[in-house]
Amino acid sequence: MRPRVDLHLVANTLRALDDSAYFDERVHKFTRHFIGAIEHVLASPGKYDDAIETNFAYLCRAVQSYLSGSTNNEIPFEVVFCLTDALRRWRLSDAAIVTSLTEDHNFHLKPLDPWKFIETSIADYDAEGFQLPVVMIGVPRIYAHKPIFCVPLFHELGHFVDLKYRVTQVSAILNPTPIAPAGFDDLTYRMEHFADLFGASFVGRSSIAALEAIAPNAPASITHPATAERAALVDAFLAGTAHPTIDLFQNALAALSLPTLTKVFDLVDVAHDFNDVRTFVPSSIEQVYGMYDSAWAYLFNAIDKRLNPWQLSDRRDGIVEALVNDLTEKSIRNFAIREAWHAAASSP
Amino acid sequence: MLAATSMDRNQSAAPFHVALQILSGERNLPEKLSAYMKTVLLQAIGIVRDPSTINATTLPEAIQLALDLQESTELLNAVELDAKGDNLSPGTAKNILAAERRFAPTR
Repeated sequence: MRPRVDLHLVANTLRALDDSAYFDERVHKFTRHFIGAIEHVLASPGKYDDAIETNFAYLCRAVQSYLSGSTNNEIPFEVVFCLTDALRRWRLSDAAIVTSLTEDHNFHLKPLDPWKFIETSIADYDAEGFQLPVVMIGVPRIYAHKPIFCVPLFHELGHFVDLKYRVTQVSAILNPTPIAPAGFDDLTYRMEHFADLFGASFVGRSSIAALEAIAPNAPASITHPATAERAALVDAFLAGTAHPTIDLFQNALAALSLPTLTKVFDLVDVAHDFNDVRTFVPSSIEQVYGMYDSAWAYLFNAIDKRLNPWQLSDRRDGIVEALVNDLTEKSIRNFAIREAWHAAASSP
Repeated sequence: MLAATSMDRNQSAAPFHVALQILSGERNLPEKLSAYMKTVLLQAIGIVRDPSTINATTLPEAIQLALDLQESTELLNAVELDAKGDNLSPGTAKNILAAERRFAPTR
């Protein structure tokens, strides 16, 4: 299609979406301003260079699919609740997470910054001071309400933080000695290692356990280190062992005046409650993060060993999986509701 | 998490990249985009000359460009020369586009 034709189509779709209830009120404002920017471009034929219109149309098509997946009916609330807190810790509390539910099995990140583009390129659109960085992440539909299986999203969020600040590129400028073998892409190696460490800082070893489950024994590729190498680095980080690759990132973070990579989660054990088929009651958001690792270990232990009460089920893995993921999801939701209640009760 | 996806930079929609596309086509930049490009250029040159100039206010695209410029003295010299004027020449813009990295991890 031609860019201006696509802009018409996207604007119509966004107008319909704006009648939906979004998880985050800021997304409503974002949608309205986005429609405003599109209408401005459509009302100004010939004003903007073809390259600007073409890139804007591409950006609009991408944004549309993520806004569609961010309505209350679609969004994986519990995971987004945690990711939003994680962003806040990386000085990105002004960013909103929008999700696209995908039909494949891959989590992904769309590395685009729509508002930066509008600010610099759609120069005559008056946004009245509005700004909202959006984090566009793709979540497989079958995992959207399976929080234990969403741990790769913390890795993806690590990519977003990296691209936002260019942490790994700064590490390559400050410490150019390659960490990848000769002939392999050093920058993407750094990016994957950083995202692994970022994920592990929030959800502990479950982040790398997910990789080991998806790609056990995967060898090094041009762009990705071997699974064993990635796991070893995460294990060193979690053990507090000094490692030159970790130091590279900490130096880059210091140069950018960003937080350092440190363990955010508190260790918890969900077994006592989950064995009674009760939700776990985290006392802090750090314990919520700790739940992911504990629930991951608990789930696969329950499937493999059929400990109480799971030997009483009809032994189908799916039943155990559904119950453990449900317990985890409801534990997070209960915490989020309690937090919202306390915030409302303490506000004047 | 598993695969680095080759990102088509023609569709990356990053402002600096769009500016390069316009300049390489020998067209003029809008005023705001021109000012943004100039800031990116000057910051990138500064980083190549002295990496300790990287700080919390450095533009992400300047860091990206600095990394590309580090790999080619010829390109760095051309950018430094052009940065003394108002904009990059079409030839330099094309050379930067050609030097941009081909991979960006999205998974």
